[in-house]
Amino acid sequence: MDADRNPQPLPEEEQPLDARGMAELMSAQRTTVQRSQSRGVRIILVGWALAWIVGFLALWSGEDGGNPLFTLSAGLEWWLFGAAIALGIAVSTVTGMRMGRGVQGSSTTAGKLYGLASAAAFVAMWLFLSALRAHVEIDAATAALLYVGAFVLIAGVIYMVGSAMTRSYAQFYFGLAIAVLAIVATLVGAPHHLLLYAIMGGGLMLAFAWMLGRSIASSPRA
Amino acid sequence: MTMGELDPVIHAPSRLRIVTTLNDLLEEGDTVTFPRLQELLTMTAGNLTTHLAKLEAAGYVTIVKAFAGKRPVTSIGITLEGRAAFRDYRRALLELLG
Repeated sequence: MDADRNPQPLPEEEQPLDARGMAELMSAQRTTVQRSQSRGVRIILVGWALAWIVGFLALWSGEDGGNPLFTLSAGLEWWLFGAAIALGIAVSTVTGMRMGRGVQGSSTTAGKLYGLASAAAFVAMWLFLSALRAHVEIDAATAALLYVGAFVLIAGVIYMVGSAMTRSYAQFYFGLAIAVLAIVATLVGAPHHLLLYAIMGGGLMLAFAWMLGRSIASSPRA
Repeated sequence: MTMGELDPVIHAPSRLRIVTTLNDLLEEGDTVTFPRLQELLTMTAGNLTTHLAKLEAAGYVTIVKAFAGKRPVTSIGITLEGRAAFRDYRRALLELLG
């Protein structure tokens, strides 16, 4: 310990810089670490943004009174929606696994539990709505609003809860905005609620991904 | 506070970058593998090993060597003392900058 506090002369490249130089070195390294951590989050957000834009636009284009420019043939809109959501899940899963590579411990456990809780929440909501339909007749118009709205609401809550892990108010407000979107889109009603989810939902995700990148680039020095 | 009073264990460019990375990357109880740390620092394995040994001797980091199957894995963590030393160093540096 004492020997380390009175070290041997350092090679030239290891000589300490002046205070400003060391502060800039520290700041640059913090940015490198933050970028490596946020890159995955931004990839996941962009993946889901594209999935929502393509998926919900496809559903909107398959509805009577939806897209005024063209109408997708019956069934195709659900294939496109399913493919878009599957792509979003694949991007999230692969990127999420890569984000934690090399790091082990409590944060890895927290990340795994967050991922499991998210998946469980969606499945539980689907099962809950299915159980409800076993007792209550829900017409197609109501189901169109209820199912999508419930899943979007779950997505918003998951982002809000996740903000406690990342200690990010920005993420909390993003999740809140998604939850509010579910309410507003349901108020707008079918079929244009699907257009709102595509444009506003996808747009919010792209905006949050862009903001994450910007906040790192403009973070305070040191 | 003068430059000479800064913690000499951290006050070297490579070691400052290592401690900064460990402090920002790891939550309490976390470790990072040697290759991942090397990737974030873009340092040679030999250089990183040398500096980690100095930080370990000062009690600022932990180095655990184990096997994952037949593959050796080196995991690095930061101690509470290491985090405290980094915070003190950062505060002192910012004071020097006014």
